[in-house]
Amino acid sequence: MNDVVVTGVGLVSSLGNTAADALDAMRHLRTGLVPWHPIPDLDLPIKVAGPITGFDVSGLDAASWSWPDHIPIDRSVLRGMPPHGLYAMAALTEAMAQANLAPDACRDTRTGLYAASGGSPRLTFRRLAAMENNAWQRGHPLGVISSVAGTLNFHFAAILGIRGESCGFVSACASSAHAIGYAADAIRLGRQDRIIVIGAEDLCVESVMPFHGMGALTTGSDPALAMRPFDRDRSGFAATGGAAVLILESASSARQRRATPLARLAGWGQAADGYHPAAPHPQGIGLADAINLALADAQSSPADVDYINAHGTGTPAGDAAEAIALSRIFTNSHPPISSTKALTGHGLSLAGAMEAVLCILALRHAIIPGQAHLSNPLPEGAHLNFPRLTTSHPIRSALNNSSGFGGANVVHLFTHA
Amino acid sequence: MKIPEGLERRTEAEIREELRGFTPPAIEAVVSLKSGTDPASLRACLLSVLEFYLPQAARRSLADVPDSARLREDLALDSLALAEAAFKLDEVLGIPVETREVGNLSTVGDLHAFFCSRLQSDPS
Repeated sequence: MNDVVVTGVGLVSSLGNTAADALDAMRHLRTGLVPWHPIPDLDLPIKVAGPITGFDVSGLDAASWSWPDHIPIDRSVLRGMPPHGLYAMAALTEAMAQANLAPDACRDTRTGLYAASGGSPRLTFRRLAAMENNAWQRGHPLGVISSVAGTLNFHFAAILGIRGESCGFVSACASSAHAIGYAADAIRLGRQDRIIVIGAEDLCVESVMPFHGMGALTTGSDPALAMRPFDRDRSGFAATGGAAVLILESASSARQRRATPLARLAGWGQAADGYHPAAPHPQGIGLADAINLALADAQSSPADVDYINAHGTGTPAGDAAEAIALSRIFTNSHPPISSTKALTGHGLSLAGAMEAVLCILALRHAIIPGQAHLSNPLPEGAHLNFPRLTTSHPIRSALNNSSGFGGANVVHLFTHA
Repeated sequence: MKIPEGLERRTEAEIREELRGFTPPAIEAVVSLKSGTDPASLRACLLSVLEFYLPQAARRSLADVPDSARLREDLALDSLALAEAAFKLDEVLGIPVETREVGNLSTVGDLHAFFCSRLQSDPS
């Protein structure tokens, strides 16, 4: 089977608008979480989030959006996109440049595109409200393709001229992690030489506030304390948006192009809890299985893992289940574990791809990101290793955990190429 | 010509916000319709808004485009772009337009005449 490497990454996150910004934030444990007041003069029960700076996607129409001057984007390609499509364009631009791919280099049947997002609840809500106001007589012509869950793959397949595989993934907070895993399989099996993976989300009240109804969001108002993964006193997650792009490629394709591999996706695994539509299995059985499958796929053992980027959303049930799963597997070795969501916020469908990028940065730059905002580790993780500070240390491999509604669990193992 | 209902009920600031990101000539053309409307200013308004929906490769000023210019063949507007432009004009001007009505229009002159008819005005 073909070896799978990553030749380009791009990231627009609450930590900044490039992967380098995120690396710097990880090094210094600088959080992107800030007081959040999306509706002036309205006191929302949610006080903290991780917004994207330098972009304005507040209008419904791409005509009104703005972005940092140094990011070259033709406004006409944004028409009919969801707001997070703009973030994805910026991240794609960064990833393509790093992979040394020209914009028209993907117009062949050997290049595919996998994307993940929850669609745009804001555009869905606003467009449907407008239709209701006109007695369901007229709808926005691009209302569907700008709103539904496949919106990113619709648009980016067209922009890039994709002739290979094009598909969207919907498994909530494991969506973009699934996209990476299946992209790796398609390359390993020789069906594609290269797959561009995009994960993106819009941070807005329409996307975020429904999670408040589930009790999943922190109501804390101090950005430094609101989201506390693996802490005894955690109270839920703070949300974020943004975009992450990874260019996965067969090692032979990268060699032929003389592209520099940033990391190797050595293996991945997935397993479901079979338990509840929203809550994790209390013992984290699906996640433990997914970790074991990823290690087996990579022909590795727990002792080979030097860093774990946990799913760690800071919810009471989720972190406990993950801590139990990790404790069951890492009995003899104690690799450092951190949830970088304490810095970024939780990006929902975007999270898996964003944290894959962060794992690759940790590998490439020899750092172990610390666990921000952790004071008293949860009892279920008493024997786990949560470093409080980021340290400079070479690592051989990084494990990336993602879990989503329906008990979906996806795990990647990245190593040096 | 009647002032379009959507313009009458909006303030100038609201119109400018509705058109945020459009070219300054487009915004001024729409704002100018709020006072002293005539068929020529409606035509300028329609064409300047339409410019935003031209595909990248065919982007140009439509200020001097003749009535005989064909929307699809000469301006490279596909049916979805035309529908999108019509929806925007509906939002801004408050002139209800059905997608299929726009689909039946062939030329710039047809487009102008269509909106004039909705405003009960003679395009000439």
